[in-house]
Amino acid sequence: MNIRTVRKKIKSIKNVKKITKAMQMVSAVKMRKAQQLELEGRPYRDGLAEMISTLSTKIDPSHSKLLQVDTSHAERELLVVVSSNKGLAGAFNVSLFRKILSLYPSFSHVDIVGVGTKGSQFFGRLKDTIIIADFSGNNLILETSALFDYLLDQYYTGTYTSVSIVYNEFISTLRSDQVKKTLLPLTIMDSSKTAKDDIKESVKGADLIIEPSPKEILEELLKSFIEYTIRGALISSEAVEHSMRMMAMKSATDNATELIYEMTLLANRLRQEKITNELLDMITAKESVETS
Amino acid sequence: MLHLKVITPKKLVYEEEVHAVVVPTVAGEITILPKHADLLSLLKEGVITIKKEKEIEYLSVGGGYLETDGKSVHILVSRAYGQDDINEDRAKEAIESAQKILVETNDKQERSEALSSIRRSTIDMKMLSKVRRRKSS
Repeated sequence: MNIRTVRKKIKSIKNVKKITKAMQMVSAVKMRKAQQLELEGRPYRDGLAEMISTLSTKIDPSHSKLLQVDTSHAERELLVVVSSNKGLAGAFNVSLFRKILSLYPSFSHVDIVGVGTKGSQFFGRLKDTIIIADFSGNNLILETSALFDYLLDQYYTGTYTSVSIVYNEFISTLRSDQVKKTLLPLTIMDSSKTAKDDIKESVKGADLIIEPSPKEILEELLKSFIEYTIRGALISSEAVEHSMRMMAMKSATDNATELIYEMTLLANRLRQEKITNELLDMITAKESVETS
Repeated sequence: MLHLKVITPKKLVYEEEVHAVVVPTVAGEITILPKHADLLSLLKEGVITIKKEKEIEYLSVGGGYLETDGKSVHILVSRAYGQDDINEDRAKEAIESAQKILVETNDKQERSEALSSIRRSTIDMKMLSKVRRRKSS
């Protein structure tokens, strides 16, 4: 290798390193923000779930339109895929898609709603997948209410047996998990029904007063529960996206540093070789003059 | 004593032991004291009054839910601000600019946004005036 090409290469790697370093720093800031949002939003979501579970033992499903949707003729399933708008985030999108592919051997009974352009692109390229809607604005979290209204409308039509959401769940900066959550029909109501007898005996909720009336409060509560589950999923996914991107960019920067180190060694060796060769030339020239 | 928790989607705003709390429900204002019957209620926008041993605190809140079992009170609301989080001048400004929008525009969405902004700021102002009244008395 020529010393000049080596030097050129070092320069270009240095530029790449600058870029990845900058991206790493930007992602770190965004990650901190997203993580904070995720952690601080948790009590609200848990609180809603808790309220519903106390409430669910006290009411009959006929109060809510949501629990009355007739799905007996439904065959299809609605799946919300939460991916990202931008790439360069390590295994963020890939591991999510792999999870979905392992969950669904065939997509003939699944309609997909994409959140984030990467997911829509991927499933658009697959055979026999149907993407019925795409919510990929600049800020995915702001899409929550639109997405929620859309899903609710779709569910009310009675063509879907269930509505689920698949996303990357945030555990820690280094760890995330791909999870599938069923939004509708509401599983939280079913699980508490089996435990109904136990709860009846305990004092809590024995004579619960519900104001203004179960009918009014239930519908509102269930809707906001679903909406905040969706919001939580989007926030969680965003926290994971930024963490993953930061990690990816960090390893790219580390790789660049290592490459630069090796390349510099190579460049130095080449330069030394050149000098030695020049010296050798001079010495042999001199010696041949002297001997003759 | 009641264990009070006020939670918004953004964060846990308030968590403390209190003597009583007054909340605006859709059916009217109610006061929750220790050993209150189990209650689940829908809240509307308004001012929450929190009574502690000596001091009284106010929070300006959006709509939401309340749950109590006589020992603890959980309040889930869309927003909640204390007296230190609200700037009176800014609240006034918000009302004025929202009123201007109401006069100028006919767009449905902008109008409803302006209206809710007025409602919010009015509640904030109401809370501040409550705080002032207490201080002067």
